[in-house]
Amino acid sequence: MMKFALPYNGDMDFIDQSLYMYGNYIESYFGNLGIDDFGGGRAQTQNIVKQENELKAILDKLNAAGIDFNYVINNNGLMNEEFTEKYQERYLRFINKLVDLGIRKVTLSNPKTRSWEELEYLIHLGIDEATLHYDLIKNFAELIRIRSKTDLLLKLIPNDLYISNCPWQKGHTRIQGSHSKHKETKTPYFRGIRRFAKILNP
Amino acid sequence: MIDTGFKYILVSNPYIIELLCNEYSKDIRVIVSSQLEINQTHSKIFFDVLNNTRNISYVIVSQNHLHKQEFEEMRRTFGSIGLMVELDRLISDNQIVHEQFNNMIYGYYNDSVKCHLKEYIEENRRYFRKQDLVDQFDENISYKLGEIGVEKELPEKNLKHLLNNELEEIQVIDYDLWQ
Repeated sequence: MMKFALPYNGDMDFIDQSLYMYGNYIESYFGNLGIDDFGGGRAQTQNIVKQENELKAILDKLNAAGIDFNYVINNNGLMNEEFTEKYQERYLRFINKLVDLGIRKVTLSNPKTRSWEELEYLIHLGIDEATLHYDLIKNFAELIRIRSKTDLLLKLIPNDLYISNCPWQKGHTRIQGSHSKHKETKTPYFRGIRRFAKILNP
Repeated sequence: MIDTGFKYILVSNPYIIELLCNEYSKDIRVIVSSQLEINQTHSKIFFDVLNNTRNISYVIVSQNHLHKQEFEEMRRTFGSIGLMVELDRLISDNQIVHEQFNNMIYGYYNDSVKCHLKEYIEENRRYFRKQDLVDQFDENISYKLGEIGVEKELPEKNLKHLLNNELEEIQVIDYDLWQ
């Protein structure tokens, strides 16, 4: 059965109601604390979960329903600091903190998985599930090929504005990733949106 | 930098390219880095929505996922926007491998990455390949050889190989970066 990953929007009623109405279709909720130094692929102003006790309350509720909370920590630009011992220690301390809170699933940077060969590479690294690249959403031949080769949990994102093979994508992901670390930094999304509008309505 | 005498600037950030093409009024020649991942005909959309591309001298194509036939189609599609080919770099058709590699080598370089970079190349050797867009020196194609951080003798040797139509002999410089 097809299932959905829903963003947590800070409203406990949303979890209660969505679980009540669509519980069988919900695979997980995703979000972050908004306090980590690593970044979660979205601007911090969009992060609604602020306190650890709030997250704990959410996790208790979801655990009771047998549904995961997927902590997103998918900034793809870590300044190469990820290779330093100090940074690795800090990162693992944070992961330990998440585990202590009850988090069992994290989303790390998704490096554009567009083919079986690329997914196979990630499987080799040890992933438990993968979000596939936007370009695959309508590439049914490759989706069928991938599914024929693995039973891994696979996700597609069908509700984002996206241009196939968008040449701005690298810039966008860098901006999103970097800006998710500092609330003060403004992301110039409006410029991107303006360009999108120009492309979509020439 | 222009006042100092520079005429060319190599850029990869799409917002900076937009700034230089749309809003900067002085004369500067823009070269688009392969880091922007321009590697298919569809990528021309990036340039189509700029107010003008007069400042752009060259686009260095990214050869990840790009092969000869598609490159010829790109040359036709890009028209007056000149394409440039790097002859001496590691290339990968595995997006994950080359993204990680590029992040390590360029994105946010620091000393701690050197040993990891060599290890990464070794471990992923089967995913890397040499360029295959051109097989002989062609005056109608623009080339890029060398990189900051590489001893000058190596690009000089590679240039001789290019001019002598010995493209197979051209040595990949990635192993020698950041010595």
